[in-house]
Amino acid sequence: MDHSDLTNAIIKGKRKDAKKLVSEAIDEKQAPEEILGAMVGGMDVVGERFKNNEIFVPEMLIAARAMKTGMDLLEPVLTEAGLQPEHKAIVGTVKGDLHDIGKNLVVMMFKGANLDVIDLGTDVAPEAFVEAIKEHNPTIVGLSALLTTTMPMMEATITAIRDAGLDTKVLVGGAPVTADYADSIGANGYADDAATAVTLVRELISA
Amino acid sequence: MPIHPAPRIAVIACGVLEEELNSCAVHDNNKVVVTVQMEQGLHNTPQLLQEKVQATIDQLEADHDITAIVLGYGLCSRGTEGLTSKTCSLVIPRAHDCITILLGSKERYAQHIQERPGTYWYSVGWNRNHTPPGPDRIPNLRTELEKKFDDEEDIDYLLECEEHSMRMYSTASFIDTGGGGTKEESCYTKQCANCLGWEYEHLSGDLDLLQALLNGEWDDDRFLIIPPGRSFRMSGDDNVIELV
Repeated sequence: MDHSDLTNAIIKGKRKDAKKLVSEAIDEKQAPEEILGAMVGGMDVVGERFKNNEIFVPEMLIAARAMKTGMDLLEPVLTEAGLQPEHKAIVGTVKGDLHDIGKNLVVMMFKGANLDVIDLGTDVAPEAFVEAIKEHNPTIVGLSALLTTTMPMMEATITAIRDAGLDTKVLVGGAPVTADYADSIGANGYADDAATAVTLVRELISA
Repeated sequence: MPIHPAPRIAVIACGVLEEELNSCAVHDNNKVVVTVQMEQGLHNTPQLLQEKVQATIDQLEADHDITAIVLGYGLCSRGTEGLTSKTCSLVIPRAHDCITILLGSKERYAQHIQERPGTYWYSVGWNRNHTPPGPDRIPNLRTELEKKFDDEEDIDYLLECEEHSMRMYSTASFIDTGGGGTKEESCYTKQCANCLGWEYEHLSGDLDLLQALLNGEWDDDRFLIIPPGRSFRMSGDDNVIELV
């Protein structure tokens, strides 16, 4: 089934079009995972364009909102089809950092990738991450930071998680974060946009 | 320690420091040969910041007899990482961004953000070069968004996102460095704080760091000297940056 119209609606952030197309596809009993794939594919393109400075945060937020509109319709169908989340992810912005746009995009993309997401919000202390991991036993923990002043808190958080004897896989991301930095602080993975984060999670889960 | 008995210095600085550079220029001991002020806001596109500042370094080296180029920048979203020179030294404060330069030390900055993570920074240069959170932010942003988006609901949503981001902060901190525009911009910052329901904080700036940068007083605690052909990167510790 060709879902390019839906993919394009997400890329252009056409929320009403996305809603209509998802609704029609559901009515036509099309495979829910394909409908989801079309939307995630749109966000992949959006992530790529953002990385290349072709679009900026507002366009990305509008695209994400279009996807959320589609997801609201699709989620019950996915559940009914037995596509229950098998893995949990805990996501939060590290202590001292109040910027949550990137983290919110990751939360949405993780939900789109059929993960059960626990969003701890912003300014999350290392010990709060540790407590949440103990409580929810997630497969993945995602740490976000926008500022170079708060990036060192990623290392402190990973240290706290490991010191607590937890081996949960930790992903890091945020504008100033790089793969080298992620390696240097002992993260299990680095993604430079929300769409890549999903690819990475899939790799880590299947590894 | 100066690296040369009488360094001939070129300055490349972010436009946000214009008033502070003016204040310091009168005390620079005539070591500054040329000053280039870049447009403010390049930290939002770090790659572009790197390209533009690197091109300016190359041009200054070609056009002037200088022994050092000092950068009125910090890491600035890692936009300055990788900058390099061919013949003269580069000198940069160990700073995450201009707030260290305005407050006078990385330690003071670190202490403040640890104590008050909900701080939004204001200064004369910041207020002049962008519309800070306050009475004009949302109307100006609406005008900008109307040029790009035709769906009114999308625009309303983006403005809601902006207001949501602003609710994360609790304090408007104005850094007073004593130059032109201080009275007007501190008053405006108070209006911003009132409009947002934030606390207003008036902080005394400290230009010793910027002055030392211009005067060639580059101790290792506050500055990194990058020899020709070398570069630097974020260190991820209290030193902020390190040579590579």
